[in-house]
Amino acid sequence: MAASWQEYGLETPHCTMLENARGDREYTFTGVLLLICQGAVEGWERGTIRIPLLVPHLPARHGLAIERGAPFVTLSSIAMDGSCTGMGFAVDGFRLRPEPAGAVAARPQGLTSVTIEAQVGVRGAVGFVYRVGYQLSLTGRIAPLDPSTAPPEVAA
Amino acid sequence: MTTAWQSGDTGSAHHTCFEAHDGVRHYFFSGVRTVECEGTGPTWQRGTIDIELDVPNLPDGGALSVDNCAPFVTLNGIANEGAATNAGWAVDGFRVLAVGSEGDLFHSAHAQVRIQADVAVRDVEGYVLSLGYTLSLTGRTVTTRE
Repeated sequence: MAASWQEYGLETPHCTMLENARGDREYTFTGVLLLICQGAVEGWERGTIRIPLLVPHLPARHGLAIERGAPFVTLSSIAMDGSCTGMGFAVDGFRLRPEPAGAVAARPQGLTSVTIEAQVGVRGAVGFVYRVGYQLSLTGRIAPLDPSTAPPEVAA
Repeated sequence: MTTAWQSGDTGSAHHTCFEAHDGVRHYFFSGVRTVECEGTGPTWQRGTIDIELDVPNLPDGGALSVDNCAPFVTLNGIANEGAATNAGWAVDGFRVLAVGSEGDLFHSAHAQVRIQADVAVRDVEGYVLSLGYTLSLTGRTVTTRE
């Protein structure tokens, strides 16, 4: 993330969860991340922002062994403080951390949180991105926690 | 100041409905709603937009007892007429509510739900013209007819 950019946590976070007869789960997360990303005097200012999400509805000492994930991040609040020519706002891409394995391993280890990373760009010194919206579809299966997993870092 | 802005027609409205083995239904809705949210000056003009959705594929006299919901609303059409100074456009947040009341969505059954989005615009002649939405909804059908 660019040095001057700051993240302030989640607004209106939501989640749905569905489980089938085999114990496979599908989660859908949505919400808004509050932040301040200011553009550069010349050219695009670019950086990576992070959206940490707790996985809910987990049994004790278990997590979600992630099979696949489909994140989506959009501009949700953009503004210019003053007049500007050559203004621009962008979400250039997004990915899930950790990256899904594509299939649940033979001895899967569960996670209690995941993080969406998004590449954001702002052009113009008076240009700001104040919020991005996110949606995440996640599939996987309940599995014992990875003992090496550190406590999750989740925004307030 | 908060304004109850008018919303117009829904376009590109779609939905899927999937029933799991234990009777839980998963609905997924998507679409675009035309709106007319106009800025009035250098401070944010804030308001709410309601998007009402019929819950389809219900049995006669049935309704959906909602377990979980995950709405998502995006800026799909924005504009500024003339020179832009202190212009801004925002969807600040969103939620799902019962239709016709401010009541809790999760303690009664519904044949309709509404997404409520917090929308903001800054600068005179600044407009939000359309919002995109998706809604993931899980629940069970119940019969409300006597």
